[in-house]
Amino acid sequence: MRAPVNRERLRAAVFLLLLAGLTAVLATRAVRLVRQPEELSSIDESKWFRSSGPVTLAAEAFGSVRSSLPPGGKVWLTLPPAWDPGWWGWMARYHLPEQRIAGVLQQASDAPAGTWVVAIGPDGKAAVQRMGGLPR
Amino acid sequence: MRFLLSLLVLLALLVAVGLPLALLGMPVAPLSVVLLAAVLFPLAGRVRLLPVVLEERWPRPVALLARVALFLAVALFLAKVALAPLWSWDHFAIWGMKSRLMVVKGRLDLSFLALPGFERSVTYYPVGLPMLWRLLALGGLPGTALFKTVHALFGLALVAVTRRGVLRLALSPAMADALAALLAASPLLWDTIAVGLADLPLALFATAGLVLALESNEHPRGIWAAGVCLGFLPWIKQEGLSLALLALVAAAAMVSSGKGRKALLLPAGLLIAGALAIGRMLPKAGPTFFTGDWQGRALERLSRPGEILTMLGSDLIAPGWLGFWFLFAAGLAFALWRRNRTALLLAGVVVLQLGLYAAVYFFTYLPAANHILSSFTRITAALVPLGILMIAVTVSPAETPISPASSTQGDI
Repeated sequence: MRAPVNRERLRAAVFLLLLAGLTAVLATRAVRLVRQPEELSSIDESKWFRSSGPVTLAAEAFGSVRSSLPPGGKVWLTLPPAWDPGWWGWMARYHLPEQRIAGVLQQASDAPAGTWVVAIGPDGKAAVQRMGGLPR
Repeated sequence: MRFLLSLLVLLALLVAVGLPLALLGMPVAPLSVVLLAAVLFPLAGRVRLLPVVLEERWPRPVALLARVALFLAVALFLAKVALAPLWSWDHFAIWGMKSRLMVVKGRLDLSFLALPGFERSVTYYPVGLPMLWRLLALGGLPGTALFKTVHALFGLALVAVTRRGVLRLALSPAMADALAALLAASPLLWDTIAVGLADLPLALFATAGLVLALESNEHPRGIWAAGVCLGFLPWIKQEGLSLALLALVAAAAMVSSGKGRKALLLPAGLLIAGALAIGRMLPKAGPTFFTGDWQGRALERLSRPGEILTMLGSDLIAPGWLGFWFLFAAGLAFALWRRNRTALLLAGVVVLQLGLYAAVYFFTYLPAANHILSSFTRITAALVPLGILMIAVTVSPAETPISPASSTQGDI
């Protein structure tokens, strides 16, 4: 008659052990999150996080010029040397959804007259120019 | 819980009705979104649930620790979503980008998908989720705050719905808390790569559909809502079609009456047909997994399957899963041994969908190793809640071995 009682106790002990393990993992995560809130890349998914690019910089750069561009306007980008034009082109499409992103140029003067150029500086700051017009 | 499931049904209906209407010219603006929601809510509000009679069998310290683990896991999920920036490339190039570009001057306009340069946005992917974000923004431009808030709410809803399913199956609050905590700590919620992507919504509606189907054994008139949730899956992701079909087979097998099966399959069929029809209207730019000599690639990779299978296996036993797939395997073995019908149906959905994912890596145009590294953990994570429901069945007190007398109790 004692066997079923022992089995119940064993089940409870195993369940308790598994729960303690899960709680320990969660507590470890909590400590890391509190100690290094700016270093999320250290938590479990570093390979993705490091390859994602400067997403916050792009959001700030394009966000700062969005209101200076007309809806439907054709927009070219210029970037500092060696910055990835493909990545920044996609970021421009995402952050400037009301404009048509025409592409990335070596220099603003290559843009056709009447179009708009968003020039990203080496510090990540963006400036808007209307070709054939005055800088805004 | 009934209100939460009603809301999920409402969201599915809102997209499935709103997107075709918007294609026909309905404005995507606050008034039209609110009006449409108001029209659909009486239907969505007809979700019915019966109370669960609980049979707690675990000692109090176990129940207490399970509750602590659940609260801690959920709090960590919310904290991490709040802290992490939106950063997934697929969000910027595909899911979030489409949502931000798809409405022009208050009207749905998908013509940008045909523009040069958008091939890399996988133009033929379903647009139901981008539309859902847009509707939740009342037609306005969705931004970081909305994407992250919706992700957090969907995560909470998934934990709650899964917990309800476990409660229904295992009848134990401690087990429900423990398994919900495991879900909240799993890569599906913990990894912020999923923020602003479609994997969490896919998991949410699949789980809601199956939980509603399980509930319908007690309340047969509620099965139509399961059909809506499962039929909505192909609106969310491409692989939602196979997941919907597998889950519908499982749900139909759980339903005892032919009338119930009709009530399940009719709304599901309508929604699936709608998703396929809208999918045919989308431009087919860019490569698909079948691009090029896919048969040649498959033969070449099948000649040495160990490479791909080892990578997949290594992923499933990685520490980040917290042992989930070991638990799943143990539950599956137990279900096979006891021939538990409900557990085997749920396990079948997970295993067959996993098999489909594995098969894709054998013929994809991408280098298999790169493709696995960039997607397998994320897409597999969406199956965790379904696996948790299967585990819950195996620990259910009603779980009994096969016998003619118990054949109506859910066993073969």
